[in-house]
Amino acid sequence: MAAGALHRAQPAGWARELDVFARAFSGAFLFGIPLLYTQETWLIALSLDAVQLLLLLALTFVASLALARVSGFRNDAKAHRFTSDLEQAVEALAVGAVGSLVILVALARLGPEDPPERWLAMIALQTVPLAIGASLGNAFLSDSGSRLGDERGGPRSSWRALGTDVAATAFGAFFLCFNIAPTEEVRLLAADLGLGHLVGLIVLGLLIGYAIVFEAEFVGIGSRRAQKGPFQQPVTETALAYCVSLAVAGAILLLLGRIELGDPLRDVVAQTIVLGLPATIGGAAGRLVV
Amino acid sequence: MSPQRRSSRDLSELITLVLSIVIVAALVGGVAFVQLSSGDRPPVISAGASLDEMQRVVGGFQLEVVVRNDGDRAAEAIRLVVVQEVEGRTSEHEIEIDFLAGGAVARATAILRSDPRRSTVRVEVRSFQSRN
Repeated sequence: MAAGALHRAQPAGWARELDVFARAFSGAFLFGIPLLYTQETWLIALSLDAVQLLLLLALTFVASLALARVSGFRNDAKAHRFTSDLEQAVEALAVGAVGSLVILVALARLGPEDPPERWLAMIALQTVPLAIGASLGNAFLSDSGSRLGDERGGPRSSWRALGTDVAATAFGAFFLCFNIAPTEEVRLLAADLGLGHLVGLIVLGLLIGYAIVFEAEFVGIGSRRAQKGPFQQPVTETALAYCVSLAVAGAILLLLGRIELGDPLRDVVAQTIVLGLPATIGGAAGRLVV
Repeated sequence: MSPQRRSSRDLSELITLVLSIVIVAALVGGVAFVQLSSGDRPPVISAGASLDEMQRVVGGFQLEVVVRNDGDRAAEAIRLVVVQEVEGRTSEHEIEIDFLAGGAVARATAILRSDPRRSTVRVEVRSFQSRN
């Protein structure tokens, strides 16, 4: 297959902005999801005064500016000029704020009954790791990280590609889940979430998984798009990867004794879906690495 | 690249940048506004129970207790006691809440052995620590 066929034409305008922000949000979630699932960060946000929060945001801006210099999430010709770095630092903060808003609402840590101070404090604090993750968008999953980099000159057979994808998803999901599954937060969140939130988490997991692998233009996207087979289409691969991630999340919860076979079905399903979101993010990263 | 395409690219980039600036300004402005407009009152903890929210369960009655912090500062280690008096006998049920931010409301549940509708029930705040 010609090399050109492995790569999408360089997008422009809104298509390029979609890729750029998909990469920024992907970096943000890859880096920040464990902290979004940490009770202490929810609580400490409420005990900080506004001066402390503003200082943290200022430090994050400086860190994002420095990271835009070495990585960033835009990769056009203007990247790494000072004005472009400045713009990326502001955009990284915005990505962090929007990303934390979405996840905190999805996890029912913020709701309509909460006072505005709580919304601002929790979003401001969670913006810190997410903005830094966004600023590292280009640094995540570079070509050097892949052991199979040299083998990706052409598409693999569909069954081999499927096996590799399933294994990579499972390993990636396992890696990220194992950081979160032993904590009390999964039970706490699962107990708090209603049907609407659980469905929202499923939709969010599918969207983020799709964005990381197929929209963020990370490494290997060209060969991934060139793969043939029923499970190598973006939609089917995303759905299959989500199921694998959920299975890994459920298995880890079971192995760690966080759920047991006799537990109420609602509790088992809720905990698995709650852990399924970081599992999906880890699984997507895993597929990009191999 | 044609001038039209170049202009379209620049416009999309400009719009995402302006949106980002608006989001960051709203966050920073909001946090600053909260600092300027809010006071520094210590925690003011109050608690109450509503019999309407009571549920009968195996071995007792679940009574929802609503705890409110009307101060500005957060409170930690809030100790509440639900006191129930039935035919002259008093029983106490302890509840502890780890953390309650200023202006926040928390809900806890006490398990009572006797029907709270046929007894006198009150909720007392015994102690808490002020954050900051």
